[in-house]
Amino acid sequence: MKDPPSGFLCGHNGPIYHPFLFAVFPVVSLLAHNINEIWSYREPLMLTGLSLLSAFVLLALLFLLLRDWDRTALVVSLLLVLFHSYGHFIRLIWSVNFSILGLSVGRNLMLFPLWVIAFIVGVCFAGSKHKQVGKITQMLNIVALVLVVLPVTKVVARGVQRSRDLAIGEANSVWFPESHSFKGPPRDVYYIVLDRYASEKTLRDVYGHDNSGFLSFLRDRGFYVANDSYANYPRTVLSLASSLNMRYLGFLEDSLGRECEDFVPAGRMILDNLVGRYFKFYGYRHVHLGSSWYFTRRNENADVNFHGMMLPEFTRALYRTTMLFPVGEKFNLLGQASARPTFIVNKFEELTKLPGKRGPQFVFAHFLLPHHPYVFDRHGNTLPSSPNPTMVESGAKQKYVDQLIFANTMTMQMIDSLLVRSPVKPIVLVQSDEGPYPEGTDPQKGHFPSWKSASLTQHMQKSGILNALLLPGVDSTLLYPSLSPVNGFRLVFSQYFGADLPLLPDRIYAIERDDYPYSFFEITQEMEGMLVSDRF
Amino acid sequence: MIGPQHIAIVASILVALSFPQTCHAYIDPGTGSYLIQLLIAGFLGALFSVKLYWRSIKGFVVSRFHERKGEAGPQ
Repeated sequence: MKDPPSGFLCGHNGPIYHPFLFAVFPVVSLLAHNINEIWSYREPLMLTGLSLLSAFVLLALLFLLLRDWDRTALVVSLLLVLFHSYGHFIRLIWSVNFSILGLSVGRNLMLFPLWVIAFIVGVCFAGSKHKQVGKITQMLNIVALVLVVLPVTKVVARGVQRSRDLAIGEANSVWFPESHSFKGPPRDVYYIVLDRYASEKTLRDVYGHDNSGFLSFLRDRGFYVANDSYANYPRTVLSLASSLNMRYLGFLEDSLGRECEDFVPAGRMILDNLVGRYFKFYGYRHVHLGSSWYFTRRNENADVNFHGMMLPEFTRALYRTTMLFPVGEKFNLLGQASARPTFIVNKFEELTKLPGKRGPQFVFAHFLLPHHPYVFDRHGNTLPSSPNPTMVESGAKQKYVDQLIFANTMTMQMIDSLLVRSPVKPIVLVQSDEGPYPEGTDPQKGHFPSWKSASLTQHMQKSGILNALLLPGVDSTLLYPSLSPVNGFRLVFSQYFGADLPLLPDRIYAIERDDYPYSFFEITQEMEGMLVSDRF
Repeated sequence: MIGPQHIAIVASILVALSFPQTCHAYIDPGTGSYLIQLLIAGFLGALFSVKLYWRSIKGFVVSRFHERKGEAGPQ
């Protein structure tokens, strides 16, 4: 009679490795899918380690029960696949409305029992005296190997190309300031980015909202509001890369090509930006109040990082695909269900605590406001977040306006607090990085429009922004309505530090396609023409 | 010797390189590509199962064929 196999993970027909591959697959698959947006592999590697450890523990515990490695591995692999694919199937059946006897049945109520039944059937099969279990192990080894090789190939291919691309990008971004010092008393500098905050014109014409109250408040507090300001680039990653490095990004187009799909070279310019380096050079304390978005969550160059309880974007995306997510949302595990609104409110509060701390300070704060998801009403009450971020929400326009009104309230309170508490009047830039997407063009909702064929009104909506600057003591004749974000810190450094940074011509660029971030084309003249025709 | 593992790896690499890249500027769960990968792996797994059970399948088909031949024999 054939001896039963002995040794760790030795099956009837050879070694067993599929549970570990099934554990790794969800992480590498997510990484490969988002490889154009991910710079550091630290977070995916940590999650891979955690996933492998879970598989190991499960194997060890279940082996005590089943006493057979083939059967144990089969159960663990089944559990891992069901656990990690749950959220994907929920997304897949999102459009299905299901009801029993007229009662609407939630997607989780449909799928959760099915998943439990599938697991029980799998366990019964593994526990039965099926003779072919060794062959099933061989088959699962192959399946799992294919699953992991597919995404790993993509990650390696992008990694090889990226090392070349980044070398080009970095060669163009090394730029050190001359030795200057602050003219007059050193002032704290606040750069507040309100993501997708529309221009006054867009709010009036498209959203039917009169925002003059907020703009009057800013003017009353000494801000210059650049009424005709446009984002230099219509996407956050490009716009912030440009404003935080005080330059246009044509060199990325020249070196990487118009068909490059990798966001990381631009994203790296946010993570390691020139403005932050300048302030460090001038002896400033760099405070970074990040968002949940990958490229502004943390800044390694900052002295202080604040990112609250929000899980990092990659971890959160993985968490959303697991069976843990519906349970976590229901019982607010790790505080994640309320993490977003809490994080936003805490960030405003944190900002107001900064004046008077050891300084001078450069504070960067990126708020995903009024950017969706719409988690606040106009009074600041929290709303249930949309469970599917890809879904076009009903009443989105009104929700946007309500969240913008709440953003106004919080910003006004924060500004008053900064002005009252700061020993020396601070420099404050309140800016949006881009305007909201015109209806039917948001890539997060599944659209990939060709911006080349977009109408001027659509460009105006996407590029029109809020741009308000509080520059105490600066000659107001230097400021003008079409001042754009690329020149914000050029003004600050030249006026307060005497740096030789002349203003650049204010240019407005669009991109041909959302998936080709460097396919720039200029629309400055067209936008200026629109402004002129509006005035007459 | 070239085994099924090697064939699976080469096939996976070729398939992976032919996948279109996606860009979102946000981390996307990638449901489409996740499910496609499961389908591809499942398909290759099914092919491999056919190879593993080839003798049994062949034996089953041949025995059924002989049974029918016997039934249709001289009356």
